[in-house]
Amino acid sequence: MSAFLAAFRISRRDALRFKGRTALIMIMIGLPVMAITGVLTGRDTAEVSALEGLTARLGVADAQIMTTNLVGPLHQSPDGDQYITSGKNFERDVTWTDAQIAALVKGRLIPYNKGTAEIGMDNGYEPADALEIDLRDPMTTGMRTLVEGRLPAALGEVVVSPALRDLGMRVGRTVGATRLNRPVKVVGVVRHERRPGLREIIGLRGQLLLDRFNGVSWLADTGGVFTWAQVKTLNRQGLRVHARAIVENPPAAARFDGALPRAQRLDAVVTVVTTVAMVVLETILLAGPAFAVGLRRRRRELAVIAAQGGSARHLRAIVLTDGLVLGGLASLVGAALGITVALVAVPLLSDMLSYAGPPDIPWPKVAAAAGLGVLSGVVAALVPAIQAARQDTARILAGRGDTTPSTGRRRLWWPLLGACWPWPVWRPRSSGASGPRSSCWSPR
Amino acid sequence: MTVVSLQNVTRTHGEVRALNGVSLDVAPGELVAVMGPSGSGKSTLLNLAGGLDRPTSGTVVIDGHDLAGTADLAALRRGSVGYVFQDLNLIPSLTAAENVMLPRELDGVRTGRARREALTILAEVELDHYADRFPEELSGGQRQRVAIARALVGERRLLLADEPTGALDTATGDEIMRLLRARCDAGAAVLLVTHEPRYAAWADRVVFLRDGEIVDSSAMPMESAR
Repeated sequence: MSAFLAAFRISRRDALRFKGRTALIMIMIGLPVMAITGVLTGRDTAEVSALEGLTARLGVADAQIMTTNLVGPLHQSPDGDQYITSGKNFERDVTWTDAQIAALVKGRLIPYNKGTAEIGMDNGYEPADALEIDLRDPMTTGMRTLVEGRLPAALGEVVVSPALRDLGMRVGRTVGATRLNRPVKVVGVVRHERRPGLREIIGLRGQLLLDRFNGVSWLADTGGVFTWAQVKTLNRQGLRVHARAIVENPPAAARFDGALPRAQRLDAVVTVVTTVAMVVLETILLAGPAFAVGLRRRRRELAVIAAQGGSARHLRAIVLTDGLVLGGLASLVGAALGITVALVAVPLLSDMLSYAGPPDIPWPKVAAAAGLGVLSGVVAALVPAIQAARQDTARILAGRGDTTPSTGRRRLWWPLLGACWPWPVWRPRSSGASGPRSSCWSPR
Repeated sequence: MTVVSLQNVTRTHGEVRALNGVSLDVAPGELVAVMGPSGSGKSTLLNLAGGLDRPTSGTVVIDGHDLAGTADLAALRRGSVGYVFQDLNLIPSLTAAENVMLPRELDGVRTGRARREALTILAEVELDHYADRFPEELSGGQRQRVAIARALVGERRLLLADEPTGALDTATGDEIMRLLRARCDAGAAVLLVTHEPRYAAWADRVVFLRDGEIVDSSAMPMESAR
């Protein structure tokens, strides 16, 4: 342990003494860590999870009951946005009525349809997300924030998001909804708190959406907690549920592994492994020469340590500790910068990204990225460490340089190793389910 | 009882015979100077005497350990041998105390104890006030004294010095020789390689090497040369 502390002390002080070399190696190791950490943090921050988006989606309702085009049982994810079937269910355009849903779900229901609509503007049609719901209903409290005008109170009245208002749909203007050019009057502007850049138009049922089969749902106020057993009951009817209680506390029975077919999951794993290998390899190839140059400068110093009793193991440890110290420092700085940049950039880019969740740092993934940085530093120092352990101490102390056999030959091996790297072995397979079951996915 | 004993030692590098049948004993408290022209085998002798190299034939025994039967020469050096070179002796990124501590830490001694031992030996070479200075903040003579302290820290009794005064002015060189002599008188065994007769004069015995062989050995102190 004391030998490691001594090696650590030498590496730390050398890092401070040779600032140029330290900065160079830190940039080469820290940049990939910063990029990976920034992307991961940015994605998680921008992404609105089911829990984070609960109020914008449900208001104060207990659940959203969503239709599918299936007759028969299905198995859904805890949030109801993904589901799988046995593959034997008959698919068709299923029409559900308020009365049919009311017979299955106890409590008060209000229609809640979602899709896309085209809005006739001066320069043609603008696509927008469309919602058919009565925002005056107390069940929708918190779903959208009224920032201008009032909420729709009758057919022919709509509210729009700030993004659509900025395109010219100002309060008081009448535009044509859908390709049928149904005239609707903008009476207000509402904001989606988690999707500030969203283009959205909201009106009462029956005026914005032409598709009566997809995106049809109801908000339910059941006066109690919606249980997983109730969800499964509705699943057997071909309905799926986005229930507040299930999203907040997914039960063990709600485990869902049908997000991706097995072949796609394997592809995803191979993609991650290949990406990690590429990043580590690139870092090693960049930082390795810097460690090699450092070793050439330190040969005499290492020889003095060997003369004082340093074994080959000690010399190897000293050079490897260089990789550990610089890799660790670079990873720490890179991760901190990546997180900072992501947390600053996401709110600034929220309009462009359309999504804006709360700051969300995926610590396990950040730790894994930093760990990769440390690993890259240590592996980049590996060959110089082996060379240090094999150096001819007596020759170096005599000022005759090192002629350790194979040093030159090893240099030739590197390009050969690179050429033999199995670049073309793996190529992502095209996606597509296979096997006896079919899978379905539905956007929120 | 000798600290280091070389018996009929030969060392060849390919076709070149660097040492040829050399025998030499150095006892505790003895300062032996090795002189000779460049290429005579002085450094090779020092490398073998310190366990940095193994002989092609013959026997080298350091502190009772025959090199032929010692697998871990580094451990033997940590416990028994200290080297002092002409210059670039110290690790630039470590303070004087940390340089002296290094062999003990490499030997597994805890940092606190290694530092106490280092400060003790630095006090013996009158450098305890400079313990936390880096080599670049010390004079050439002070650096050599730190190197001598490092060579003798712990239980080490054999000090191998390769031209330790080569980069120093005469007064500082004398100061270093006085220190080496004092350490010898305190019980250390010193094998000193030098070109300078005035420094060899501090030795109890002078060995002359030529073409890898001992051609003369004088046990008469050359005090007049000091």
